[in-house]
Amino acid sequence: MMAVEFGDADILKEKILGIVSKCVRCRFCFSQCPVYEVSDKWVVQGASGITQSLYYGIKLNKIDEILRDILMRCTTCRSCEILCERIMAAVSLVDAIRMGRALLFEEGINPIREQQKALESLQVFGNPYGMPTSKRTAWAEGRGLKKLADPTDNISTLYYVGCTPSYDSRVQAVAGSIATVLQKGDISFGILENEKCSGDPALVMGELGLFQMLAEQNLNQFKHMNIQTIIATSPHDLNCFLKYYPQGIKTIELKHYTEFFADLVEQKRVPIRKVSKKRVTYHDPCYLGKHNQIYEAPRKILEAIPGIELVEMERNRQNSLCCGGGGGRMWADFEEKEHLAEIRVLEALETGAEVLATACPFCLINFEDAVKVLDKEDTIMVKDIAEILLEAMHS
Amino acid sequence: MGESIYDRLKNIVGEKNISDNFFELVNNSLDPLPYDFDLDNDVLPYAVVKPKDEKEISEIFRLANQENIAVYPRGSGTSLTGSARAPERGIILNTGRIDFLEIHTDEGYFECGPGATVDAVDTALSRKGFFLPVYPGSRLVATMGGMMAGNTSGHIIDACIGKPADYVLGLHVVLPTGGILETGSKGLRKPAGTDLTKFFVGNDGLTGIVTKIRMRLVPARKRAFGIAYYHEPESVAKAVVRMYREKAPAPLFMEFMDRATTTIGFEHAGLSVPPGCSIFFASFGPTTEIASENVQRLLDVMGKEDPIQVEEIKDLEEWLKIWTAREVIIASLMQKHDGYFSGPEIVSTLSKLVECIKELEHYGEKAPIFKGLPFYLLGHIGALTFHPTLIVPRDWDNERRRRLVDAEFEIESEMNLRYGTCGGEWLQFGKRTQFFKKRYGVGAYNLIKQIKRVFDPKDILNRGVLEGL
Repeated sequence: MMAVEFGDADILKEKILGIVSKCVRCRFCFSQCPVYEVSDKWVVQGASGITQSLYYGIKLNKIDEILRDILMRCTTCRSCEILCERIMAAVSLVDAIRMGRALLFEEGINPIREQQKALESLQVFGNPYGMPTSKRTAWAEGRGLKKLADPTDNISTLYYVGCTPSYDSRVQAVAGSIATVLQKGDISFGILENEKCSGDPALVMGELGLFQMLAEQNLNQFKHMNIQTIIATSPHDLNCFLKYYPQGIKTIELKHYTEFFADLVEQKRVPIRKVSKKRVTYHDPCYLGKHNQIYEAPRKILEAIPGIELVEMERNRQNSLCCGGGGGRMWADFEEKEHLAEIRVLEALETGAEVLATACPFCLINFEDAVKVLDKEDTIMVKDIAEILLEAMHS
Repeated sequence: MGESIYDRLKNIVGEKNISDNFFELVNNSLDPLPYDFDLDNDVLPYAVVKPKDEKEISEIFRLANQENIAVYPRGSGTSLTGSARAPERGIILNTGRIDFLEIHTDEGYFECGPGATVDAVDTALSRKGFFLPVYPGSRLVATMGGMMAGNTSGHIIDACIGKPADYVLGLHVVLPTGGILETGSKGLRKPAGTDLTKFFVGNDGLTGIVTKIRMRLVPARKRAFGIAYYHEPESVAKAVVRMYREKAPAPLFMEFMDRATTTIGFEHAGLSVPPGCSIFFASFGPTTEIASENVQRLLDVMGKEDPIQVEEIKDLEEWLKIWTAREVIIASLMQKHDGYFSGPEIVSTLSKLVECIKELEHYGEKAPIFKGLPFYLLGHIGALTFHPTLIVPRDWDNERRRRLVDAEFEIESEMNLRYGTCGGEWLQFGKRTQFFKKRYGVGAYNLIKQIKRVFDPKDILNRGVLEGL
């Protein structure tokens, strides 16, 4: 488990220089960088070009808003690191970028305006959307879900919903599907009455103080409720719990819902019926796949549904193309040659799939937008794995 | 550079395709040499521009001539001889936007832009059953424009399929004066006699910027693979000499790694511990059987030099592991010793290959600054090329790292002079200028300058690469 690198600017600088000085500027990582793919070939918009900017920004004392805009463009998808691991250099470029964002805070460089707004909302409302806390569980009304508020509730499995599934009208359907599948699988679980953001947006945008506060509040709540297992909707939240939360979270089993559902399916604890024949392609969310090596669980679920033909896009698993939503980019708008999500939808269309499945709220939102922009709503649907599984249970 | 010049450049390429962003300028001044950019020793360019076509490049050159500003074309900046670092302030001309690729199977050629990566071209050709006769170690990002400037086939053995120039049918070029030129032919027969193409393929970027490359389509052929292990590198060299002298078919690739290098590479690739130093190769053929026969002939030759083991590798997965071990070896060595790599390109003659490899086994003792550094010997031995590799500690200061690189190029120069050879993979100038003068004489160097003046009277393109213009 990786600790969050708290510390003053000098410590961060030292750590960043230590990481980036391992890079030999071979730039092989550019071949895998989604941002570079849509950047129109500026070096500062590609993998090691970003980290070299950070390196020389520190060395030449140029930590400013120009550097911020370079750092914030990264999706933190990890494609560069995977390539770097493959060629055995294994430079932790994304760690350096994450620390670089924290350094910006330490040096008093404000985030990009939209990101700043999201962070302010996070501080005030416990979510980056500025939505009222009281509405967080509105999606669950009438679903018969147990809302955990007290240890005497005696439920040890928590469905951690997350901010986007709680508030986004489209992704609420995913939260509903996950809850229903859990109910149908006879899982004793609950959601938090006072759930707060995992802190992931603060973490990836470099606001480590806010992240630390949220992480401690959440962990205290999990411990207070005697939670033994957490099932998360978002790979981003899961990653944050797994790698950046305080050590105390180690005693809790942390799972993405696709992992949990794959087990339910394998154990035949949920009834699956044949669905009408359809071709489905699966997009690996970066924080599920590249960050946490969960590639097969979602596929196992799809493959277990009779009638579904799973077809792969040319870029899949470790080579999957990022949707463009990671690294705080859901709250920033960069001018780019093409939209990554649109490229990805076109890749899905090339497979002849009628459904583009994914397992991340950000991917879902970005792909649905892309399908609309491309005017392909009659050709392909974007669905979450949980929705597809639930449909198969109903059919 | 005055604001008005910047504005005029902006008018040529458009606002989105020009930058004087400090970090973009720094990034366009970097290369993989094992020392940092520093403002005391290096220069920042004025601006980076990304023209979309030859017309814009032509206009940039006309402006640069009017204002007497140097222009430095740049692809991916992967040069290992310092050729990607602009020696003077100027305009960096990034070719990245000119990355088109058109495969004309009916005509038997393909055309691409200088910004197309070798990997992208190779992948697209492979899908149509063709083969790109270019394979630099940096192919994932290296550009076709860079391959033209260097006329390099990278790790491929010249004796097997030649150099890129052998496949280039014609070019579109923008001259440093702004003129636009077409060379060569759209037919599959290269011009006999005078062919201006020759002034631009292997030009070290001195005479013009290539904007369209037309190359003959080469059908993909079947491959077969072999490996041999020996107790001593000397035996490997003897086996390679035999290969040429006994008319065994030169393979497409033939790599050597000393025992320590092989051990580390194999370990990283998940292969078992090798019994000795290794030589491994890929042969070509119209059918798998013929490719395999070629491997067998090579193994027969290798068998005459007392190998520990020789074998044809039939399992493609095993070959890919061996090849991966080689492809990532430099990074493996860096990771093992937590340092940077540095190493020259020593080329031997055939008759002195054994002597050369014996000498290179002691490369680590050749300069006081090398003392105590981890040293490994590897290379494209089928092309009689070695890359003695030193791992430089990360805690060395920048000046010391610079001195080490300079020492390496001095030794490269001294050895290649003694062997009567020259680098066959990397470009000729940059860090190799002094070698060029010694190897071919000041008269030859002056001739190159005269040629350069014909194309570029004001020394606009890659100014400072040639001294005293």
